[in-house]
Amino acid sequence: MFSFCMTLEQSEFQQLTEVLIELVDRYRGNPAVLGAILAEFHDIYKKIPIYPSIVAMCLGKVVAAAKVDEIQKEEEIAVTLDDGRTISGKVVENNEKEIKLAEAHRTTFLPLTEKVSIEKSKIEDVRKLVREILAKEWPTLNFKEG
Amino acid sequence: MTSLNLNAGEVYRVEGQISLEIKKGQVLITGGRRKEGERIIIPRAKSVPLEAETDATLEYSMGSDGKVEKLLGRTIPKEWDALFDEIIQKKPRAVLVIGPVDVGKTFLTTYFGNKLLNHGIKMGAVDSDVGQADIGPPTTMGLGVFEKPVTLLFEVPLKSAYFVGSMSPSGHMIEFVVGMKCLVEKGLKHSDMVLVNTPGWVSGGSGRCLQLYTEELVNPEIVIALQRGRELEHLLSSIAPHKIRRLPVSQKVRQRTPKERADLRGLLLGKYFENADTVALNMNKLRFERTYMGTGEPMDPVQFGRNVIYAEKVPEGLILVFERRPQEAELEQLRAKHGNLKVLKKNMEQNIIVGLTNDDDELLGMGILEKIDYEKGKMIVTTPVKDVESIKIVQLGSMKVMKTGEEIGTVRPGTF
Repeated sequence: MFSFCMTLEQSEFQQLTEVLIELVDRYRGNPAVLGAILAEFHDIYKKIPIYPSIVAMCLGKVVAAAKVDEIQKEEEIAVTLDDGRTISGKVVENNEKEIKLAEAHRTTFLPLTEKVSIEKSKIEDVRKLVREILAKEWPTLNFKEG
Repeated sequence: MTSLNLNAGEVYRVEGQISLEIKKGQVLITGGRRKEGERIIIPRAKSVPLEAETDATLEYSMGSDGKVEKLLGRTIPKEWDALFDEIIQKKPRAVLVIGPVDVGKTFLTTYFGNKLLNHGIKMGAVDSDVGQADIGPPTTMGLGVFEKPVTLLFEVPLKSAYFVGSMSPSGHMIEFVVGMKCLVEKGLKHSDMVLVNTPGWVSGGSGRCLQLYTEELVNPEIVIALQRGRELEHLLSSIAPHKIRRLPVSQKVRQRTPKERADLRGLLLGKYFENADTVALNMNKLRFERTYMGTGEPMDPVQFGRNVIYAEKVPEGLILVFERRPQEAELEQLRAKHGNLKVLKKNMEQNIIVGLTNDDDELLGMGILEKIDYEKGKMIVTTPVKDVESIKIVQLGSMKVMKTGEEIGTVRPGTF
């Protein structure tokens, strides 16, 4: 007879972080869906920061599988088109041939193969993106993914 | 009044609201011996078993929801009585009860406390169901000692309480286990045996930790596992087998919905604050616990801009309280100059539940933080604690509540 010693997660924040990572991995190419998840995360966490497992459970339900013909009026959807564009919005009509959306947004997440020139006069805001921040800020913790 | 004659050995289920008087003989109510002349009130929505120890006559009157139902036999499983006999024989100092929600842990605690009293053994009960503790108000864990038989656990007088500050141990694991240990130690000073009733959070990493580290810390001689099926086996595999006593759930355990639980919490909390007064506490004479604020070096707020009404330097950075929500640019400037900031907005503290303790770390009661007047150094608190002078320590919780008991929000631990 033997028993295992415990190495358990002592905080539910670990679960929340893992759910977020999983969702980011799954919807990496779909900015509309990611936007909705992050907006929900922001709102729920602000309300119940003391219950991270409930936040995690809710986030897992933000995006649901759907069949085109079963989508109802008033439902909010994100559609990925065959050219890579994503369109999201609230359904106002779903007929045999098309779905009509209100409050719609179009987002693209297409990698550009050519160099791109940006006119400085058109820039409203610019942010530097620092990748591999863990290695820079805390190199001793920058372990290989296990 | 209705009269009821019972033969020795007969069993009834009595559901409130009902008021009954024992006119003749002796009965056991929730295991507690009640004699001729005693009057018992069972509140609405509560039901208890009544067993006639001798031939007896009762008189009762009841409300529209009240019910007196004769049962074919005892509702208490025979395994409970076998364990009770073992406890009488071995006289353990600490017993831990674990089980998921709604398996009757509270009933078992009441039943054992009463039965032990029948044998002259005084039992202390630690009620750690912080959401709706029967002993002590919500957001606390309570210690009660069975001095006389009770019908329901909430009748056990409160000996001591520990403020957790939330309706769940989630995010308050350390307060929870420290409180548990403190109350068990106190309980052992006031009673022959302490029975610890743990929360129904039994799975997931945090739930497992909560149960197993509590077991390790309390180190009970007996662990009672109350389960319908095998809901606790994953925990029991880490507990020394000689300590474990598996018990089936008593019949007639009523399961509550989350809404019913929330309503009950509100009711208990509202009742707690019923006779509360609003008082001003002098912050200069208080100590703060479970906060960053009040643990550092106060600074002149003016140097951080006209929008800042309070400033304090702590090892983690600078705590700044703003009159109005600061602009991002303002914060960026302050961060560039002073490093880490903990940004608070005036009135953010409104409605936070607080624990109020004396210099000996004894919880005097709870309060609702109405306001911090940084300029005058006053903390305005609504509390039923009357001896305001004894309040030396304020412990911040992570729930926001109204005086009526309504829960209106939560606060991330570490915000203040």
